Amino acid sequence: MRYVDRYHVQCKKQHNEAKRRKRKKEWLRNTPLYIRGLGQVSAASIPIPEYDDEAPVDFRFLVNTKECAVFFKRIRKAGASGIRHYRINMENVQHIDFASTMMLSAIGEELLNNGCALGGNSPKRPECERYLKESGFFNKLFDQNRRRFASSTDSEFITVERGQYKLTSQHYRAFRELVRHIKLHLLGQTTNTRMHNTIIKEICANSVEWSEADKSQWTLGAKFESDKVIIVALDLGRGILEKLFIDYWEHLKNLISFKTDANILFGAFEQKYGSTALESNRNRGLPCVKAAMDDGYIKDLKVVTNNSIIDFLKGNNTMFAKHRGTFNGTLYSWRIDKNCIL
Amino acid sequence: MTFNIHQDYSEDTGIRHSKYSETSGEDFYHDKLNEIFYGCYTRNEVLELVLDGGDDGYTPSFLDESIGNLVYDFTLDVVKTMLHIVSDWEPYWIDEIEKKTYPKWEERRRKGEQATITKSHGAWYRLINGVPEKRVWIVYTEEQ
Repeated sequence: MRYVDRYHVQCKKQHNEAKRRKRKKEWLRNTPLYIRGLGQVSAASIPIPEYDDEAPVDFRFLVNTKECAVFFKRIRKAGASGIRHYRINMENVQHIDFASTMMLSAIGEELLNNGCALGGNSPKRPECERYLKESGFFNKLFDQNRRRFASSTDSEFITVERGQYKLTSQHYRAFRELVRHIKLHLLGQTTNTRMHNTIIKEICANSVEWSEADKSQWTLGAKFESDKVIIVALDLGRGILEKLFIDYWEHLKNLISFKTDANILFGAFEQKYGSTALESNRNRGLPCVKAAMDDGYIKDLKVVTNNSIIDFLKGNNTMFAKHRGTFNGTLYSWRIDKNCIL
Repeated sequence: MTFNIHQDYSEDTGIRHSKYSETSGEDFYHDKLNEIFYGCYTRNEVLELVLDGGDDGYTPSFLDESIGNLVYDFTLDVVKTMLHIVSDWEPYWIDEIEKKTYPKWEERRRKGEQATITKSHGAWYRLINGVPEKRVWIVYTEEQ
């Protein structure tokens, strides 16, 4: 390299160095201290968020399905990322339903399995706070003083413990007891419980066999109100649509007739499709649940899975989202009142 | 011969396979139903299978797996002749079995689609050219 070129290169280097120092000074002047990783600042200057997420204002999973599903997905994703705590702000919740409280409980269990504690505050609206208490949401939780909340007597939960992969005689007894309590609450006496047992067993069986939920976990809860009992059964697995087997010709028919995922889900309840077991005699459980609704044993059956929701009472099946991964799991909600076949 | 599932097998019944529940349809078939039906077959006696009794409800998968396996191993004609199902409390089960279980499992038998087992079972009876033969017809492996 000639002397003159070497001189020019050196000047250029010094010039670039000077520019870099100027840029750094400007960045240091404009960037807040806590982002730069320095801890010695006053609390007033650092806007540390108190909560990691905020619950939707309309926190009814069966009404405002998409927003709630996306909210639950965010919590689950955060819980799976390895963080130790996740706090949600429920202060502004104006409406809530039993399905949402059950989902939050189940997700809390799932996060706990991953070593993450889910916490938060109660809604400011008294009706919503009371609903949360009555639904039994606080039953296994602790307040900020590490004291357990008083259990609600207006609800009953059956949850499979971690590590249990199959239904046992203990579960069958628990189902029978739950159905007996429901009939006692509604009729003042216990009549035969068989059909309602069948429905609960079939739904839980689907979760255990097909959901691929962590440790085949599923949750069943009942909320006792004055004139009815609301029951919710859910699992946090892959969802019905991901486990259906649709053969090539059926798939082609669906494409040609522009069938949506919601239509396909409804078809599963009419035994139009098989299961991934590829046995022609399978898929008896979902039609059995629908038949129970048609025959009047249960009412107001709603099923939410993947990206679709079916409301059997109104005869609607709708997609609330484009992607099947929006809600990984299946939730059944139904009610029993005095007008059902008991 | 009369066999009441709730009294003679278990007060509680599960779902289809042993892997996913206790007292499943698979367990019931291999532990009880196959042997009892074979006994009735050799004596040329009708087996009366009573579904009534108890508070526990059946699942369609339990009945489908247990009675379906009977159709597979003994053929539909034999089962229709020698099995009488009694379900006075819930008559719809008889409809379910006759309209769905029987034809689907007979179709599986004709196509040679073996039943699925989810654990090892002892030898059981199957009709081969009208003659009952007892052996382990399906060997359970972990991959199933």
